Amino acid sequence: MAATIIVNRLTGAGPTATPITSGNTRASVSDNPYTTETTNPIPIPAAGTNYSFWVVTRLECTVAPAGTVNNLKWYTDGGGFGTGVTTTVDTATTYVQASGSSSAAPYGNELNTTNYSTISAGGGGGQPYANAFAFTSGSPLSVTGSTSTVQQFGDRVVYQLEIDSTASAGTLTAETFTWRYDET
Amino acid sequence: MNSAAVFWEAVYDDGTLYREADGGKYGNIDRNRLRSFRLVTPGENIVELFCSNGATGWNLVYRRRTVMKLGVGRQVWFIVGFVPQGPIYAVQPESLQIVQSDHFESSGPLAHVSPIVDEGEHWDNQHMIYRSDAVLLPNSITLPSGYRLKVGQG
Repeated sequence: MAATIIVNRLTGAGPTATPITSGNTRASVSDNPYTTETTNPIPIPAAGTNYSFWVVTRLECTVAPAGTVNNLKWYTDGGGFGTGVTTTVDTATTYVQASGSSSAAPYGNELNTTNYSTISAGGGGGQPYANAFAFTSGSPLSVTGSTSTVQQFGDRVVYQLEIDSTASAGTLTAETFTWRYDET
Repeated sequence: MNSAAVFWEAVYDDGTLYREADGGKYGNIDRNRLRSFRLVTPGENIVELFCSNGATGWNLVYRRRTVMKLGVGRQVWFIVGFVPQGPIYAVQPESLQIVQSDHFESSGPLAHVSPIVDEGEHWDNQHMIYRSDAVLLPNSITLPSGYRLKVGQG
């Protein structure tokens, strides 16, 4: 039987796993799995950079494969959220709850190994990959992990929006993130 | 054609079948006895590969590849072929699309797979030997303990 795999967003201390496979998940200046809520929007700075709270995602196997699920990949459509919005991304071997302030700049704590110690620091110098949209179907982000049983599995994929003064106010056009996996 | 209705079948040298639809597991295929491997859907064969041109059951690779676009939907490809000899096929049932190559590609439906313990031959994706007059190798190869480099005959 083919496995059933879903994508969860992890939030809270637990963490709490919220399925996001079929819908939208919204970054904000809070650690909430918003879908379309407009609370806690990310303020555009007059100068410098403001950060969203980072978004942690992970795969879950809800129906086991006959064999093994492996070769996990994550990628984007190569587009982006537009002027003034940078999206960083990295894989992480453990969960660290997003933190920061919902009321004071720079809002979210910056995604780096100081604040999230188990990211792979693919960008070098303790930093995540600088541009999530550099990962496309032709050059995806490899995610460590496999499973043969029902469970959450694999490394987390964590991303964060960085906003500078050139961004425009309003709801960003949603971007599609893709997970790919193989099974036997 | 619904991907949920696509299954694999291993045909052994005595004509018997080992079938996924009967609960068979890919890792339990008797690769010593494999004559052919096929993808089927009720009433028809989609693609069948016969062990030939030096390929044996130990060269067989099969994957069910799922692409999940969050908020959009899923697409399933079935990958089947022989490594490193080729051919390798990627079949997308819903669109009836079939992609074929002599080897795995760097991207697309035939993007590399990760070998699993179930597979008989441990082959290194990074040093895939292509069917060519020139064998492409890096200046040096360091193989993990217990692995050997095998060159296919074209």
